Formats: sequence, structure tokens, C-alpha cells
Amino acid sequence: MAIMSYEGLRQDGRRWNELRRMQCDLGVVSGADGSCSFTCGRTKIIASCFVVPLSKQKASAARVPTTATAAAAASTAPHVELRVSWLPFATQERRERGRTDRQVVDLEGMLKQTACAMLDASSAVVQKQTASGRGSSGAARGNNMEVQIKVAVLQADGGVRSCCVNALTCAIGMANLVCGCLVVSCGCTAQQLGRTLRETRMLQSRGEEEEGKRLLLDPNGAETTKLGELSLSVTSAADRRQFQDVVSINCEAKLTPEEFEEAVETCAEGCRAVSKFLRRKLLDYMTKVATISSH
Amino acid sequence: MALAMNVTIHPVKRKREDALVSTFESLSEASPSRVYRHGDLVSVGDAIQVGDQGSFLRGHGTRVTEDNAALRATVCGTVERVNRLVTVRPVRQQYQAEVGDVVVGTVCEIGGKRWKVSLKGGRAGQHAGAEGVLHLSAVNLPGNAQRRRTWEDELNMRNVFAEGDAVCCEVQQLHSDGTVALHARSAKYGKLLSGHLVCVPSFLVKRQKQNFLEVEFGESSAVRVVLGYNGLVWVCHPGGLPLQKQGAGDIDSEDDDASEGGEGEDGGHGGGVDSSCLYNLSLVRNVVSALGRLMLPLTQETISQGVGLARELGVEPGAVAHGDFLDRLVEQEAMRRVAVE
Repeated sequence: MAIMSYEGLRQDGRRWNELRRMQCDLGVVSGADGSCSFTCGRTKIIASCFVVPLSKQKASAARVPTTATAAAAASTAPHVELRVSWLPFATQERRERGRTDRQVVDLEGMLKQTACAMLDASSAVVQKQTASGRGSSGAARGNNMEVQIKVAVLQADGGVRSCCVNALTCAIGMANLVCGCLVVSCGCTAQQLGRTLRETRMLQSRGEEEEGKRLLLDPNGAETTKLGELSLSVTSAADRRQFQDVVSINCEAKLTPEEFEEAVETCAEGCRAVSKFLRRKLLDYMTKVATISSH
Repeated sequence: MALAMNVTIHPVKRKREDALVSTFESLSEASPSRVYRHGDLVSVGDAIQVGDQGSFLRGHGTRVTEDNAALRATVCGTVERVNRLVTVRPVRQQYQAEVGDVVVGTVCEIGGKRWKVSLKGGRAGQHAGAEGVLHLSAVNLPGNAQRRRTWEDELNMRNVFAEGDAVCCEVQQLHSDGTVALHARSAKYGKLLSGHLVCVPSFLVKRQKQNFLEVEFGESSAVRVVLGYNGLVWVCHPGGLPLQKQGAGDIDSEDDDASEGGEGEDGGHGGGVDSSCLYNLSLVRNVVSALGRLMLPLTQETISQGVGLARELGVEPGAVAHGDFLDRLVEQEAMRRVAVE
């Protein structure tokens, strides 16, 4: 089955540069400090975040192995515990995924890094001071807390990594923890337009070898299984003047170096759209809460 | 053959979302001047305008970017400026203790001359949030004796506050490592009895003059409410507050003995709690919890008005949490805001 029709439409009717429909509900888990159910197409993730005091053992364990500078840099970020549960009915064939499942372990590691990157709110100035040993050992208020994050994959249909990152961002954003930045993520993949020499010639004669058409933004399940996916997480930047810092890249697609560059840029554009969407959702929620609870 | 037929799908009713949106709409209609728009708030990572001079002091909720160029927000909230100091006050933040705050918590651990007090509700300490430390030397011992605390007192700590007891204290000190030291030296602080603990988001309990409220019920006895700034609210029979206990003389030790057996809900002062009192108590409790769910502010005014509305409409305590009454509650809040304007 062709991934893309000759009219330039994909199986689900999108163009190459269209994202799937996104939906983001905040506050779905009562009792959590921040929670979010993030739906992108048919992928659905629930993330929730709890803030608890840090136990003594964990605090001392965190201090020992790090070097002085690393401890100083990490001092403002709270301790993060993250659990991913991939529910058995998430994919088409039922499959139990335990704690040691490769995909779950992978996701946990990536999301934990993302959360740490997000929650590290140290100012550049502060960082310099602590690095040179003048800072007050970074014992800032709220440093003794632990953030427990739970991510549940309810439905998986392509772009699970990106959706998990976005859900995580919303959950942390709703809890309104002190963050250095928000992180958003978007996927992209590249298709081979002509499989054989004849097809390629035909496409060339039709003049369809345009740059971007090769790429597919935000691939769904079918596209991901066929072509793999490149997923990029960057810091959120809604306006164009702001830089996007890369937090993580994961590439499972077969891409040539040129394609890779293009794909990353396309993802970055996708991320901009996602960050706009998430920022609007968060502000929507916050304005409502602020208005209702104002006295 | 083409059938002309309109098939409609019944719209799915989404209650939670609706509650927030509809509450927002009715309240913003009532007082348009106090509505927050997107422009009034900054989100995480947004650049904050610092003015022409270019010199500023970085306050809470902000950070300076690596190239030292821009000031960016680290929380979602409103920007506040005092001269050159720029801070962002977060909307809906976690509870941040301040010295002098009245807080309500549950004892979760005893040992080493101190009680650990959980300042955030949660199922049996599962997600117990912020913790405070109440030292043995920071409480009034039964009998009001001012003396050094001996090892005997240390052994008897469980008689004063046992695990699971609700206590009401004041924040005494904030240590640099983030722990919160509490004290219960005044007569109004201490163990809370014969009542119910309600957990609401902490940002709904605004700074106010009085934390110990009274909801009048005409003929029958009033219901007392203790608003902890940490988001825990104790709703109880008047006999359940420490101050009343003191007034009753030195039956303190007896109370302690009695409550050991009875524990919590109906312990201690069983004598004064009759059915009408329990009815009122559950009414107030449900109104407080409904206000918390709607994210309306919790003050003396809103609570007593909410209770008044429920009594006026003859709503049973069990029906307080239902949609119809919640709508009326929002309407009333809207009216109140119109009146304030």
C-alpha cells in the first residue's frame, strides 16, 4: 500500500506537513498536582505529576556520586522519579510490557532526562556563581522535593515518544513547578519516493522531486512501522526570534545525511506549532483558574 | 435510492471540562474587569519586558538566559514589578510555607523528640506532600507547665499527638534546607477533634485575617472551620478545637485518654455531638469541598454564603456535590462579585 497518493495525500488524508489533530485536557487525574491527557491522532497518553518531600536516603544518594560542579549545576533541579506504564491494550496486538521491556526502559530514560532538563531552572548567573564556589551551596527553597511522574500509554499509534514528552510538559506546566523551559517534541520521517529506477524517472518527469515532499511530518502508526521515525525534542519557543535548544533526538528511520538535516528542520517547525498549541492550552487553563480563584 | 435522513450523534457530555469553562464564563460575565486574559499572564520561557534602563533585579519566578540578554519566566503567572525588582507570581502554585502561616496537618511520624506533620492530604501518606517538623519543645504540654522537656515527656509524646491525629500549628521557621519548623505554643493550636479533614488546592485559601471561622446555625450549635494555608481544612464541632478544650479546665488528660480509644471522627467529645450537629457538620464539609472542586476562593464569606444557600434551598448534605447545586453556587459567587464591583 502506498504511503502517499499521487495527489500528495497520506493514508489518513493529511498533507506531508500537517500534524495530526491534537487534544490536551488538563487536570484529568484528581489528587495529582498536575495531570494531562494528551491525544494526538489515535495516540493517547496520560501523564501525572506529584510533588513529595525527598526522603533522606535519596537525598544522600543523589549527593555522593556527583562531582562538585555537577552537584552545583544540578542543585536547583529537584529529584525526579519517572515511571512509564505501557498498557497491554495500547497496540493492536495485545502485549504485556513489564518494567524491563526494552521500549519502556528506553522511554523512561528519555523522559527522565527531558524532565530533568525542564526542571533545571538555574539562571546562567547563578550557575556561574556556584561553579566558582561562591554560591550558598545551592540549598534553595524547594530543593528538598521530589517530583514523581507517572506516564501511561493508553493508545499507541505512532509518535509515542513525542506525545509522551508533550504530555509530560503539560503535566509539569499545570503543576506550575519552577521550570527553566518547556520541552516539546515532534516526529518526522522520510519516504522513498521512487522504489525502482522507473518510478523515480516517472516522478522526475512529472516534476515532483520537490524538497519537502519526501518528508512526512508526524507519522502515524502505519507510516512509523514502514519507515521508522525521527523524533526531536526541543525547548519550547512560540515566537520565531527565540532559539530552540535540542534536548534529545532519536532516529529510527533510514535517512541520508542530507535528509537527516532536512528532517530535523522540519521537526523543528513542527515543534514550533506544537509549542504554540501547548502554550495556548496552558495559558487558557491558567487564566481560567486565576479568574475563578481570584478574591 | 437516496434517503434524505439526518443522523445526528448525541454530543458527549464532558462534565469536568464544562465545570471549569462554565464557571469561568459566568464569573467573567459578572465582573469583566477582573478577568485574566492571555496577555496578563506569562508562560514558562516567555521573555519579560524589563523597561528602558536595561537594569533590573531578578526576582522569584524568573531567570536570566545564558547570553545574559533577556529575562525569562520560569513559572506561569502574573508579572509584578517593584521598582527594578521583577518577579512572576505563579498561578496555582504548590504550597510555599511562610513564617506565621496557620497550617493544618496530620501527624505521620513520631521520633527523636519531634513529630513529623504531613501538610498535604493524600491517601495514608501515599502521596504525602510537604512535611513540617513539630518539636517536642514547641508544644504546650497538658497541664500548661513551662519546663524543660524530660525523657519522660519524650516517652509520652504519643499521648499528646499520635500518628494520624490532625493538628493545627503555626509555621515558626523555615530552614535553609527546606524543612519547615512548626510550633503549637498558643492555646488555639493543638490537636483537632470531632471533625472532618477536607483537602482543597492550597492556592484557594487566600491570606486573610481569620483562619478560625464559625458558621452559625441559628438554633443548633455552630460549626467551626479551621482554614490551613496549606490547603487542608478542618471542619468540626465547636468542642473539637483546642481553645474550647482549654476553657473546660483541666480535663485535658481525660480527653486524651478518651480519644485514644475513639480516634478521629467522633472521638473525644462524643457528648456534645448530636445528630443535628452531625448533619450541619457534613453540610459545611460538603460545601467546602464543593468550593474546592469549583476552585472558588475559600473565605469566611464564601463558606457562610454557600452554607446559607444550601440551607435556603433545603439541599441535603449528600446533594451538595451534585451539578445543580454547584451551578447555583457559581451563580451566587457571580452575584457576590457584581456586588463587590
